[in-house]
Amino acid sequence: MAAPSEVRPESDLTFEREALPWLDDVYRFALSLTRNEADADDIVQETFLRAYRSWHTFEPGSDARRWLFTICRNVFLRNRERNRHQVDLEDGDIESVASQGRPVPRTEDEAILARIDLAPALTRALDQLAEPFRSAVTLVDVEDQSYEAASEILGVPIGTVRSRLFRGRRLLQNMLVDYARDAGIRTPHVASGPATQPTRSP
Amino acid sequence: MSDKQPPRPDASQPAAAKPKSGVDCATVLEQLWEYLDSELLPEHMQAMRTHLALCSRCYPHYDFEKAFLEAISACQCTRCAPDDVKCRVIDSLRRAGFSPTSSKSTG
Repeated sequence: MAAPSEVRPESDLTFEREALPWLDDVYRFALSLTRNEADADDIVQETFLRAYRSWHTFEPGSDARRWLFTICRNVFLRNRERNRHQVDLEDGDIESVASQGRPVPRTEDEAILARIDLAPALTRALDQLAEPFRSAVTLVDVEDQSYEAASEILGVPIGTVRSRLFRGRRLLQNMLVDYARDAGIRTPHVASGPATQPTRSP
Repeated sequence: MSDKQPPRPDASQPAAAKPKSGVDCATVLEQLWEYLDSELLPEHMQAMRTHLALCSRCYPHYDFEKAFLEAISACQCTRCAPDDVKCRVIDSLRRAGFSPTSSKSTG
């Protein structure tokens, strides 16, 4: 009954074609959840192992990346529960500080941020963001997921995704403004888009 | 992305509190992120786009937030799983019965 060793099951072929190409994406998402490379490695391994074992439940033609993100999130939650890791903020705190829409823009802050190279500071700021905010920002802003997809992956209502996302973005902007001020950058008189080179005050 | 990109308004024209678009500045500024995320209804997306194209007060905020969100994406998108992580994933799958095309199937 056993198939010859050189014959690959169809499911292996489809798994390799549809699931494995998302390994980098799942790794980025795992890192956003854990902020720790060793933990992210473990989660990515377990995610793909679980995905492989339950590949028969994957609906052909549906979004494999979204499915993998959901598994990844579940693995993370299970591991966190097991390890009793602390999160920086509980959901109640998050919802209590989240606003309904985009916070009122602050022209002065935008003007400061327009004068710095955001990339290095952003990477650092993202690492400092609490997990619930970071995972929402990562899914929507980096992995280009819709609010609805992020809601399904994170297992929270769309309104919660929106409030975590907006709060996360605002926190990032606050951290970047602090970074810019620490670097001696002051408010210029005009704001447009972020510059590629920092401009320091005399 | 291009359908979200409104033309830059004529800066010589004074900013109106409610350009002929059906939405006012306060609404536009509050919903800027949802607009950039394409999460608004199509008719509201269009109203936002029209407003931004006409309003020299709101456009710089749009311009800034667009660049900010693009910077978040750009600073993370190049982050890849290290090769040893990819190898460990394939090894654990192999132990579970998976037979990849080659040992470097994930690049």
